[in-house]
Amino acid sequence: MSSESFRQLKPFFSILIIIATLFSIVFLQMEERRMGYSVLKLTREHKKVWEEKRVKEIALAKVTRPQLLDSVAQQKFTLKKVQANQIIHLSGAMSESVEKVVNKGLVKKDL
Amino acid sequence: MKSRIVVIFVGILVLWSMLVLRAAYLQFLPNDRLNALQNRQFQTKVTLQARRGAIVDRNGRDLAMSTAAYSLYADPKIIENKRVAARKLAKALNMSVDAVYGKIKDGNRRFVWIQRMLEQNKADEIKAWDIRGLSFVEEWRRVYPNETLLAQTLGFLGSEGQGLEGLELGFNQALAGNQKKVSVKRDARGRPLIHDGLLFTENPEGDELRLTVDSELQYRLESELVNAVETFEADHAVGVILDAKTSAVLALASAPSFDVNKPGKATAEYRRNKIVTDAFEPGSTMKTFVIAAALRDGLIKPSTKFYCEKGSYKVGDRIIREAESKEKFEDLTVSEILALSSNVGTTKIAFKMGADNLRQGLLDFGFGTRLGVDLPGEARGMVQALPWRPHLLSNISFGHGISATPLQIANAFAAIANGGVLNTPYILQAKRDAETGVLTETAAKPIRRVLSAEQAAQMRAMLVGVTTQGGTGGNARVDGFMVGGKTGTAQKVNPTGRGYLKGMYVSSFGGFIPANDPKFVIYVAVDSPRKAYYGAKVAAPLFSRVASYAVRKEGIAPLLRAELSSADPKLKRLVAADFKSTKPVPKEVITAAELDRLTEVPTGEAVPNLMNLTTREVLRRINGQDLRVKFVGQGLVSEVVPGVGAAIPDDKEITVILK
Repeated sequence: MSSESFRQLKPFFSILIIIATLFSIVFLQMEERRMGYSVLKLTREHKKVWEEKRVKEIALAKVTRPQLLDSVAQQKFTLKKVQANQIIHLSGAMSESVEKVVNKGLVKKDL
Repeated sequence: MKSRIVVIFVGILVLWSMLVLRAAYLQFLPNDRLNALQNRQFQTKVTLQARRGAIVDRNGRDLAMSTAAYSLYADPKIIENKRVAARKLAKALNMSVDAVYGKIKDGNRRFVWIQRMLEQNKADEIKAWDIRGLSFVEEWRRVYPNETLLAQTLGFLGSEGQGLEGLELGFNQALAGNQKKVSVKRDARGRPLIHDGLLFTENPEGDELRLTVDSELQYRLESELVNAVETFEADHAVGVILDAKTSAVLALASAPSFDVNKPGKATAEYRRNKIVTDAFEPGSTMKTFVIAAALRDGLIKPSTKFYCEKGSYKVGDRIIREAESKEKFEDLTVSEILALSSNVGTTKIAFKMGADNLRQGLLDFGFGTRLGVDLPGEARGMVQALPWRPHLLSNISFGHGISATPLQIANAFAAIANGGVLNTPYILQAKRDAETGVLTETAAKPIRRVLSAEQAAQMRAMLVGVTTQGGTGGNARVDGFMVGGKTGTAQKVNPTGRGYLKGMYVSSFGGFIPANDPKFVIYVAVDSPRKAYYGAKVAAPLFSRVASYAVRKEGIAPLLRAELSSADPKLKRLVAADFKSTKPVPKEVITAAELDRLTEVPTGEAVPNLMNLTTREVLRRINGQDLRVKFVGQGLVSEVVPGVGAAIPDDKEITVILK
């Protein structure tokens, strides 16, 4: 293509570029709107899932309530309520004394 | 031809130019009318209702939560086939067809609720039918997953979501939050459009309340109260557990309780938070504070003796008697008066104080005034105005003619347990702003000092005496722990007339554990027990069970036989006699009976308060007592070994450290 004919086509190219730009703007705006709807849909789904989570949290809180645990333990597993005298207490002082006895025995053996 | 083409071209150009100019005029030049029209068409205001904030216990366990619910309403005018709609709805909502049809048959009505607070899946099912004239409103449903737990304290909501009782009422504004109104653009179908990258669909939230309550401790307290009501065929029972240091409420309960999800099914009697709203005559637990006030005023010492008139003492035209006719006490020390719960002895202490001093003392301990707890409906109780006639002064000294709430009594015990400071009890540990996440914590709020540290220590020692063998509170003991407290058996006031109800009592016990370093202050009261009525028989064992659980749960180590090497020699001697095992495990907890012997304070043999005295003053103070004193250092007495109010050792020797 000669430079003369290119010069003659220049206005058409300019108009083409303008039209393409306008189409791009419209396309981008449509895309923004479309994405807006997608976000809206996802937001609603997120909210729904969030609410389902809350419902499950409530269900969890209900099944772990102390009354229920107590009655299940006593009626289903025939467990009895813990008594204070069932607890085994380990004191630091005794642990040390036991350790001393053990160490003493070891020293004698070594000798 | 060419000229015709030019004319058409120019014509079209002119028309296009006019259109473009008109468009530019509408688009770019400001026009209020057009703006308003546009706003009406594309803008909408959305009101986002705030989700009510959650209530959790000190460990984060949910006590009250909100979840979305959908309320179904109808516009009967535009429902086409009402019979079919009614049939479908009735099946889905588990209602009768007639009931649904009755609601929608009137075509002139434009709004009628069909059913409120539906689950999401139910709402989705109805939405899928696409029946014209049926719509939903999103609301928040309040759920209390623990049902009866802490019911009276949590309170409940009305049908419009407003707090009606308890914390729901007291913190209604914070929990409800603020509804948000946002202006959003919408498309032709009414869907909201994204604006500045934001979609305003997030609902605001109310503040989250974190309570000082421990739900496991709460459950144990409630179940023990229910047991007590059943065992003794009582009308009801109340209990409160406070943190001894700060007066934070760890548990508070009233039995029988109710399911807080169905408040309408319970009577107002069950729904009331009796711990704060109900004042009653406390009976002998009040002796603790009469003696504490006298001790503070310097009128008595633990070893001061009073003649108790062999159980019968004439005051004006009335005769004050001990609880049991067989109790014919003569000379008793103040410690014994408290331990044996002598009415005559306390009367004499009250007379020594006078009405002015006693009234002021009781007011200082928080009776007769609201403490300012963050729970609604707090009663102030009653301390009568002066002047008091002698028999009223006497009655008040042993807890009649005065009324107090369980919380006031527990809080007054907490003042003794924590070293003499009266705090405001509180239940709100922290409030979290849901929007900003900022956590606002509640701190302990001291009201006033009511006893010096030494006086509080003396009171604690005397209250330990109540729970030792021979004291009225022996049943309140817990193996492995020292317990201090006081029993109470009060006649029940006739609510409809004068005087007291015959054979009706309120049995109570207030105290703290472990007495040597109190962590829990517990007060329990059983109203109108029918199988027994003395506080010692009804309330003291209840206290013991609750206290035993509380210390176990907190992981407080009991006194073990194996650890006696570090304990005082007397303790070691006593326990070593019957402990021969050398096995390292399990360690045996010192029983309450053994603790009795270890903590026994014989009559008049408590270590006197020698604090801040000079050597000369110490010698003057112990003159005539069978005591040997070993002085260490110079100056004023800074420490006495064993402590003030403790039992005098067998060898009668005490060590006084001067600085």
